[in-house]
Amino acid sequence: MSVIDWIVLAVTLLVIIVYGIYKSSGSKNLNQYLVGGRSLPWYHIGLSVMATQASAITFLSAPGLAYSDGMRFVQFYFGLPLAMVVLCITFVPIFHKLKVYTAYEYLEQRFDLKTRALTACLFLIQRGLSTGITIYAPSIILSAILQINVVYTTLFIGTLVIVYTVWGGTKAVSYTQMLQMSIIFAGMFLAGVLVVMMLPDGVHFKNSLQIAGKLGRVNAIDWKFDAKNQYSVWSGLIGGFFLQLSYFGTDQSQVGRYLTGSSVGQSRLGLLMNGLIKIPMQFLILLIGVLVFTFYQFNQPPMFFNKNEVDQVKKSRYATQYHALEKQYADAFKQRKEAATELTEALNTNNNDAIYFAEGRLHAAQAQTDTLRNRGIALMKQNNKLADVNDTNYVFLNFVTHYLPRGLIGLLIAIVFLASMGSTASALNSLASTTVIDIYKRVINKNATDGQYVTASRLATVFWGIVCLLMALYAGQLGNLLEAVNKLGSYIYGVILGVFVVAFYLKSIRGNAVFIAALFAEVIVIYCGYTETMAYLWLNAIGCLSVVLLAWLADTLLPKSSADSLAL
Amino acid sequence: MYNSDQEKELPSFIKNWNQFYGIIIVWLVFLIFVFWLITIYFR
Repeated sequence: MSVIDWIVLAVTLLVIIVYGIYKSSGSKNLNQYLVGGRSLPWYHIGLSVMATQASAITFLSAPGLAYSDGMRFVQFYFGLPLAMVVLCITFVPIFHKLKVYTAYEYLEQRFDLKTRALTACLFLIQRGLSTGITIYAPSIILSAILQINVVYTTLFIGTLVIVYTVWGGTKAVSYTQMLQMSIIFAGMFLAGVLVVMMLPDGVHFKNSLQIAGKLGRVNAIDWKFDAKNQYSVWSGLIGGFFLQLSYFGTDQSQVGRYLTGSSVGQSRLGLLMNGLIKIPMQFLILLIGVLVFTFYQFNQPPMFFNKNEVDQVKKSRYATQYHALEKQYADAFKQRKEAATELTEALNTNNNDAIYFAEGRLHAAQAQTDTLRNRGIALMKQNNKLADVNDTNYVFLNFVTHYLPRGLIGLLIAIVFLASMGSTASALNSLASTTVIDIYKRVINKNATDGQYVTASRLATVFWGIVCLLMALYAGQLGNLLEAVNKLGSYIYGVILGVFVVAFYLKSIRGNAVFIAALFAEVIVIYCGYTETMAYLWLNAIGCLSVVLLAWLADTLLPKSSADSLAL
Repeated sequence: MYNSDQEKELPSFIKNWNQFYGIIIVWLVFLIFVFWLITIYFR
C-alpha cells in the first residue's frame, strides 16, 4: 500500500471512532448505556442492524463467492423480508411494551427463570465463540494482503472496538455503525464502477454479464427443490426465513439494535428498511464479484489467490512442480483470453454461429485453467494437510490491491476493518447486556445502584472483549473446530426461536414443557447436523418446529402440578 | 402507544402498517422475478 492509502485508512478509522465516542458521551445510566435511552430514529436502527449482520467476511466472501460459484448466494437472503414483517408484527411491540433490555428477559415473564437462563446461556456460548471468528477471519486476510503479522491485525481491530464500545455503550456502537455503513456503501459502489471502467475496449457492462453468464456465474435463481442444496429459492425462503427470524428475533446482538428505537414505529421502520435494502445490496456485492470474474478473463489472475499458501508450497519440495503448473496456467490463460475476446466480438456482431463456437472454446479453456488450478491445490494439500485451500475470501482484496487506484485501496481496506468492527461492537455490547441483565442483575446482585450496573456493563464488555480476542488469536490453531464454531449458530438459533414462538403464539404452554422441549430439540438438531442429513439452513427450521411440537406434547403429557414444582 | 399513533410515523404515501408489510412482500416477489429474468437472459 502507498502512503496515501495508509493515510486514507488511518483518517477513516480515526474519524469514525472519534465521532462515535463524541456522540455517545452522555451515556451515564444503564438505560442510555445498554439501549441508548431508547431514543434513536429509524435510519439509525436500519443501518445499525445492517452493519451488525454484515461482517467483514460479507464484503470479502460475497464477491469471491460470485467469482467462483456465481450469484446463487443471493437466495440465502430471500427469507429476510418475510422475517422482518413477522418481527414487526410480533416481537417488536412486545419487547417495547415490556421495556426489556434483552430478549431473554421476556422469557422469565412468560415462562420461568430457568428458561430465561437457558436461552441466555445458549446465546452467550454461541455469540462468545463466534465473535472471536468475526475478528479472526478478516485479520488473517488483512495480514496476508498487508504483509503484517496476524497478531497485530487481530489486536488492532479488537482493541479499537473494545475502547469505543466500553466508552460509549450502545450509542457509540450505533453512531459508528451509521457512518461505517455510509462509507461501505460509497466504497463498494466506487469499486463496482471502476471494475466496469477497467474492462477492455469492446467489453461493456452487458457483454461482461453475458460472458460471465455463459460460464455459469449469473445464476441468481435456482427453483430446484433439494434439501441438500444450500442455495435455492426454497432453502432461502423457508430455511432462510427461520434463520433470519431466529437471528433478528432472538440474538441479542440484533435485538439490542432495535430496542434503541424511540418508539415501536421507529424500530419497525428501521427493520423494514433492512427488509427493502438487504437483498438488492447483497445482489450488487455479488455483481461486483461477477464483474471481477469477467475482468480476470482478460487479465491474468494468480493461479491461487491466497499468497501465504502459495509461498508455503513454493518453499517446499513441491516448488518445481508448482512453478511448472504456473507456467502451464499462464499459457492456458492466453488461450482463455483469446476465446473470451472471440466471444465478445461474436456477441457484439450478434452472430449466433460465432457465439456458439466461441462459447464452446471458452468453456474448454476455462476447464483447462480450472484443472491446472486444482492440481496446484492438490500440491498444497500434499505439502500441508491443514493448508487453507479455499481462497474465496482473497479474490476481491487481491483485485483491489493490484488494480484499483491509490487512495481507493486504503478506503476499501478501511471498509474491511469497519465492517469487522461494526459487527464485533454489536456482539460485545450484546454479550455485556446479557451478562449483566440476565445473570448479574437477576441472579448475583439484585440491589446494586444504576451506576454500579453501568460499571458492571463496562467490565463485562472488557471481559468479553478479552475472551473474543483470545479466541481470535488462537483461532488459527483450532483446525476443524473453526468450521464447527461457524456453524454453531444454526445449531442454536432454531431452538431459541422455537422457545419464543411458543411464548408468543401458544399461550397455554408453560415453562417446564418448553424447557424440556428445548433440551430434546437441541439433541435432534445436533444429530441432524452431525449426520449431515440436510443443508445447515434447514437446521433452524428443524430446531424451531421440534421445540413447538415437543412443547405441545410435553404440556399435554406432563401433569399440571409438575409445571409448578419444577419451576425455579 | 396506540396503532394510530404509530401510523403517524409512516411515510405519507403509506396508509397503515399492513400496507407497508404488503409492499415488502410484493418487493420480494418482484426481486425474485427480476433475478429469474436476469438468470435466464444471461444463461
